[in-house]
Amino acid sequence: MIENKIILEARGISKSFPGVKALDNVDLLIRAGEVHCLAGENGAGKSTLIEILGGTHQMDSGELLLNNRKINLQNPKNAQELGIAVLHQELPMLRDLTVAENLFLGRQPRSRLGLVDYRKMYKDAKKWLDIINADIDPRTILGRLSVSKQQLVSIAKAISLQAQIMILDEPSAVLTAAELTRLFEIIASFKTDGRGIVYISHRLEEIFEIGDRVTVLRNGKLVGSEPIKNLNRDMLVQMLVGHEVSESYIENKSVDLTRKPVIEIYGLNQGHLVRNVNFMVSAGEIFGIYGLVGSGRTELARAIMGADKIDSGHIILDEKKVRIKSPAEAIRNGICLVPEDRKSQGVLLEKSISENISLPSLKSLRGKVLVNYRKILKYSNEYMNKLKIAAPDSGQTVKFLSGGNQQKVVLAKWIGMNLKVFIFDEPTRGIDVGAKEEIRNLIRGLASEKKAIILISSEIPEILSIADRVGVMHEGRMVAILTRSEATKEKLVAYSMGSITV
Amino acid sequence: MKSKALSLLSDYGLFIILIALIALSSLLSPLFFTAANLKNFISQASYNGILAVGMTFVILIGGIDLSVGSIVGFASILYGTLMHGNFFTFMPNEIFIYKGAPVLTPVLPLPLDIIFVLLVGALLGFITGSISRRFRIHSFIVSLCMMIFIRGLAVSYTNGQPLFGVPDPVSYLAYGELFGIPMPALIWLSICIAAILLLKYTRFGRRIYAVGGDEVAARLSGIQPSLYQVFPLIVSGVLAAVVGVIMSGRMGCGDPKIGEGWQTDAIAAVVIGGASLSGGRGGIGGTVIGVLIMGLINNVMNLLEIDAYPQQMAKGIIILAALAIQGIFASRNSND
Repeated sequence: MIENKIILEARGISKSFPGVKALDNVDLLIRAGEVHCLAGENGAGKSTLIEILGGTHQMDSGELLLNNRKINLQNPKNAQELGIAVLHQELPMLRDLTVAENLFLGRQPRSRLGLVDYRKMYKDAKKWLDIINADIDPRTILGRLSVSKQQLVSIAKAISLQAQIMILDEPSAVLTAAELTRLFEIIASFKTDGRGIVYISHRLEEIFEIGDRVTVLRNGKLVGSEPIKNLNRDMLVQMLVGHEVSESYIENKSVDLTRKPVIEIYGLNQGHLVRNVNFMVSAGEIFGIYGLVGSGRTELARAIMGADKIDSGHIILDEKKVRIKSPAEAIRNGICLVPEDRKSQGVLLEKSISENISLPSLKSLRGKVLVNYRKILKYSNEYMNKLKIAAPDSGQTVKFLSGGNQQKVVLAKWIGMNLKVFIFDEPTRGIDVGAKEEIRNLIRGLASEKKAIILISSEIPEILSIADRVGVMHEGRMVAILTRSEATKEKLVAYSMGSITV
Repeated sequence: MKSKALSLLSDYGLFIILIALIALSSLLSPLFFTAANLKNFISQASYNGILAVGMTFVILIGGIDLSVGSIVGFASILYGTLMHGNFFTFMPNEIFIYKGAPVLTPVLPLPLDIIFVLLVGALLGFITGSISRRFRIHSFIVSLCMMIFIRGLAVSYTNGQPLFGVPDPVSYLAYGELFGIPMPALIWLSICIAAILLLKYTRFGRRIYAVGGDEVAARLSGIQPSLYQVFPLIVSGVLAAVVGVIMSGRMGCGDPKIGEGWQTDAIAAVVIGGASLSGGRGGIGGTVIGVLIMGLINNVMNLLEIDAYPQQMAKGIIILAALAIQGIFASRNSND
């Protein structure tokens, strides 16, 4: 086979964010008429790479060559003018405007007088929507459509740009099978037009179905770039996971699985990201949940906490069926959530450590009527010392603490309340290595105090080192529950990408 | 079917409120449907109407312009000093003593001095807009400071004294009629038409909506936000200066103290008109209805000879009620 013409060449791209090297000397070749898949675990650097290609972020070093000419992308506008279109995963669209308007944002068709030609705009929008078989009225206000229809609109938009290079970031996440088939047909027609396509997906089948070449990133570094026909499934998983030895397994605590469960979840359904989920966690057990971003992990936690209304299923707590309609009720029942987004949901950044720690316990910390500040100070100092929060005193504003210490403040809030079930959503994300280990030790400590722990994490070594059992989620389903001895890195990755079905 | 009726109600709810208020007004006062009153009503509403058009631009990008009232006063007194042969100079005290009909010695030929005042209005808006954009301070705060500063400037300009005497063409802007329609209303109407053309039928206008709706989404669609974040405040400044000039004609003098508090009526009209304070939603059509509702409340209460302060109380309650009714429609609609 003759190698196709190279359209875009990225050489030695590096990019750092505070505390993280997101991309380290990565190369990428996009050829005409080729579907180039980009794969890697969460945080491997895929998103950063396409954000650089789309002009949203600027690289620290490296160069981009478009048709052998060096280009400089300062903003998304530059990228679009050069024929690079990005279909973003998180749908940045305008909910108050019509579908047609979103499609042609900033480039509405104009009449001879230079005024926006609405009739032509609706007609053209209809044309592009028809191409992807989307039954959507272009006059509808976008915010009134369902999420998957909104996704179709953004696909239509990316296609309508008729760009030389199309970058699709996980377009399949919310599409139905029929919609996906149509998308693949369109991608195939782009190939024959000689355009370059970059396709990002977490699903291995998709990569094998439409990819011509796959580039794998891991921890911001290039692992390799291979033609798909030279690879098989196992080889790709091997590339994704790598061979490096994972963190040492710590103490092989035996868990008595015959012990009474503290929390049991039966047939839980919520939206399209929590589908018929069943599991139970017993006292002193750490139940890990692994899954890729968008697999429904966070949604599951929110459903258990009553933050989103569940469609069906029930939760049994200490052998009693409970109905949880709000996070406040969950806390009253003894369940708490340490959320993924610590800064916006876990702590009040502008407030002091003691205000944060005492917030959920204010009821028990008041005098007869008014809040008793001396009690609060004593209480928060006690937990500050217990969790070794590094700060001059409990009056310190939380904003100025390190990530690890902020996370400890979140923990301190709940530990003092004598709860039964702790749900951790990515508790160690974005904090440094030493602090990570401390947080893990705190979680182990909670387990040894007979608490039931649910630990959501996308770091496989973390899950393998502290979880007693691991549930793997894929597209809203818990596709496997593995014991510590069964769980391996390869198995977790394979299950989470849906390549093994049970 | 039911949801269709509801969405109809939410789309036209505002209009229904207006019709209901007109019906109520004519029931309450037999004087309402007289030519004299209607002319009076529409020309009074025009001043707020013109300010509200500018405010619509600003609210569309998620901003607020509190400085418009002060710009009205400053434009009025600036125009007055231009008429008296002064240009950026602080006046000696004795000139303010009213000595019969004043002799006008305009600095610039007639249309040019109005244009000069409008340019100063644009400059003030540009300052607010660029400070807000450059230092990432919400325009609410920047325009609050501008409001205080400009009022101080206007009042110290002539030691707080009004300057009497305006040329006939400017009086005509306030009191003239064309085909039986008062001039201020015609000016308001033409500004509305221009604004609708700009906002609805040019790419420029649609980009204002885009940037106001979601700056990130707009950027990713290849729109550079800065221009669209500063331009609305320039529009608002110019239109406030327009009101200042017409007000000078109406009062026969340049008065540094007029326009105090007018920004609140303009904001209220825009919000009643369905605009979202977080930006991206709203339009001139809704604003016009909002202005008419506000004007109607004033007019009817004047006809009923209600005192000024109870009028304020009633106005506060009615505006809140109008917004609450809208809020109910809006939340029903989004629950579909």
